[in-house]
Amino acid sequence: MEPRCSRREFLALAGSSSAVGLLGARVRSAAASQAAKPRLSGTVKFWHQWGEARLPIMEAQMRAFEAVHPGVKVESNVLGFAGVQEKHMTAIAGGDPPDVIMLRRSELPAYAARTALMSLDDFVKRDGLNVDEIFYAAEVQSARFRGRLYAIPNVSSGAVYLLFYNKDHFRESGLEPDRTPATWEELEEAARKTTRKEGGQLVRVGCNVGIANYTDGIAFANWLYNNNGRLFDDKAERVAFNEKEGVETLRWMVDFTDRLYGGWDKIVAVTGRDRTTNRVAWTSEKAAMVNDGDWLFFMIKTQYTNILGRYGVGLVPYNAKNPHAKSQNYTEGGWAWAIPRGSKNPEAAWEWVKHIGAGEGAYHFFKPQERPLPVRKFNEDPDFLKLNPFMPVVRQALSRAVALPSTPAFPKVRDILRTMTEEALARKKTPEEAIKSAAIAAQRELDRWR
Amino acid sequence: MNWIDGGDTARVTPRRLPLKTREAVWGFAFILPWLLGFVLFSLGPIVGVFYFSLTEYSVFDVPRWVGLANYARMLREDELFWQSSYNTLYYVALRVPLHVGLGFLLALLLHRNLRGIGWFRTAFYLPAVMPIVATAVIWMWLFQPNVGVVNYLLELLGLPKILWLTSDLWAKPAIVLISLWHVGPIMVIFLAGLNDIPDHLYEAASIDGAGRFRRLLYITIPMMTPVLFFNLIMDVINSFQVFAFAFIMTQGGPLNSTLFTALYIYQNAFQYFEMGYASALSVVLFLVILGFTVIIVKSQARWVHYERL
Repeated sequence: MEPRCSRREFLALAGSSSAVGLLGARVRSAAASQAAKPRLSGTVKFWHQWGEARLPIMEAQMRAFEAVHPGVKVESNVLGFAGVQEKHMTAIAGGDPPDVIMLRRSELPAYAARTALMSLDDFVKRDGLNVDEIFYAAEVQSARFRGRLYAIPNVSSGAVYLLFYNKDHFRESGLEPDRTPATWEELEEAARKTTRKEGGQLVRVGCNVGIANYTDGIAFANWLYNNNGRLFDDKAERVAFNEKEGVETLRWMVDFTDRLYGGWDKIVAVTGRDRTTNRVAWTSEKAAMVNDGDWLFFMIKTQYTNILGRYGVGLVPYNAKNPHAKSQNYTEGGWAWAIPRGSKNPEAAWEWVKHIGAGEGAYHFFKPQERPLPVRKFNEDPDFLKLNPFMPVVRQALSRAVALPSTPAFPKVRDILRTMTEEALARKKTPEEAIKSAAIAAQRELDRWR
Repeated sequence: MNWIDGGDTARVTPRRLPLKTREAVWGFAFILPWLLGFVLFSLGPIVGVFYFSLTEYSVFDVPRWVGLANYARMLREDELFWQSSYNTLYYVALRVPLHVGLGFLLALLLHRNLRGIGWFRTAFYLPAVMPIVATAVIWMWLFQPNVGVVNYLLELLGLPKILWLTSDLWAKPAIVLISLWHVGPIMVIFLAGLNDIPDHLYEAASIDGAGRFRRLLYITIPMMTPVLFFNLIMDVINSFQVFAFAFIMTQGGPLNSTLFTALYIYQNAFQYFEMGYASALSVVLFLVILGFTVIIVKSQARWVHYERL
């Protein structure tokens, strides 16, 4: 059954609508002063993936926007998360695209390189929007391709890797329930202590370091950046994951899995091999820790209520043996709002993108979800802190995040890296062999775009 | 049509088309809706795929001619092409005999005039009308390593648990097993074929002292070879295009062990925006299917009996 809005959420929405109304009055007066700006009218065809429990929150933002722009109607179409690209592709190529789409920033270069998106630079310049000031550096950087801005960040991408842990499991294993493992060594110790076996079989795992709980994520890349490594050089022309840090990282992942669980096949029997099954293992308390993202706050609140109030969150542990390493995420993914080529109403589309991506719409969409935003100032709101006690950790993750150099080859390289990681974890290849062959294949993909 | 001309009553019979022509006209009239649909929606893409396979094409841009570069890349550079081809051949080799065999076996069992046999026929056909996503989700739970029914039953028998869809060794056989769930349509075609075998053949064989097994071996199977031939061709063609279960349940993993050619084509076309390369892969898949179909058609002279047709 589709989750419904609680009374608290409803009040929050009602409040947000009035706030947007007030803001709207301000925006209207500001808009009146901008003579160069065309009068907005018509329909904004808006394709997005925020369905189920998030849909009423999104619809409230749409209505609030329409109240400020009476001539504009935002027409929502919820696509679902599967097969989004093919829907975009057919609509854009068919000459009848929506006016605003929601796409992953990791896939943005692949769209932009093929001229499927409108550059937003002219809009940004005209409206005097300082995107570098508004957003965290890595967030806006990942919305650019070859120096041009093609999207406005939708969700925060720098907090897609956080360490969620079950405080009860920590307590019963003699660990401090309010202290997150900060380094790889501490993570291994915590994982060892929280692992349980019955009759020689694993019934609870400490942590599966081989799975990144993020669709675009690659567990290897996540750990690599916490070992001061990098996937590519600054221009995304040469692979760099085959350097010393890369080999060290993959070796650590394999050794961790083997030492604690006796191999990849043993741990995947409990956690499964994808992000959903791994998350379910954690929420059903078959795993003590999980590497997951900031969306989990809302999911815990609406779906996994058994964990509510019993979990802690920390930054992703880093390799303390590497003196240059620190806890840091990389932002290669995360959703963004873009205007596809051929939009019939780009002016109104831009105004909507601005509102839902960088304006009050964004704030009121994420606040009920207790989820951080890519917009700096909203995360500083004391109300947010009251709603979500983990905001300081999240803010830290966001400010430390680094953007991956953008390349249209990324979707392919991502799949190469996933296979590489699994090959090493399943002992089909040594970490060195797996990295070597993956580096050759990935370099070939990068070369296609040089 | 008759008519009266100038007061004379001259009865003129219009010239009738020959029977064969009339039959052909009616035949075309009946298939016209399909033919129109095929020409409008399928023929263009089928022809187009050969052209696009010789281009670099993302769908967003105009195609750029690259000659045979996509084919060269496929054969020389692309390990996943070979891996997906191997996976697909493995699937076809395992699935076709099991699927056709099971369909035939079930048809034999259900070809009896027993009370309530219609219920059983419906029950066996029912999975075929279930949505494929629902089927996939059910089987994902059945094959779940820890709480799945399949492993529970294995444990009851004292056998070790199998990782099924999370193991590169077992994922392909698991998908083959799941595909057998859709045995209904092939079973119905076999049933129709069995109904078509004249009873007097069985009566004559019984009078000559042939038991059940011999009747099966010397009457049923030979008489069923045209149906078997049809089902074999259709099953080979369908199996080469395996996509949905892998797309929903494993996304090609673990370790690309369920990356079948059709799924790899999809990935290239819609996830990597390489429609030109995906078209080249499609052409190769088409040629492979065509090759297998020609081999089976050529082989029919050796084993298909058309005496009664």
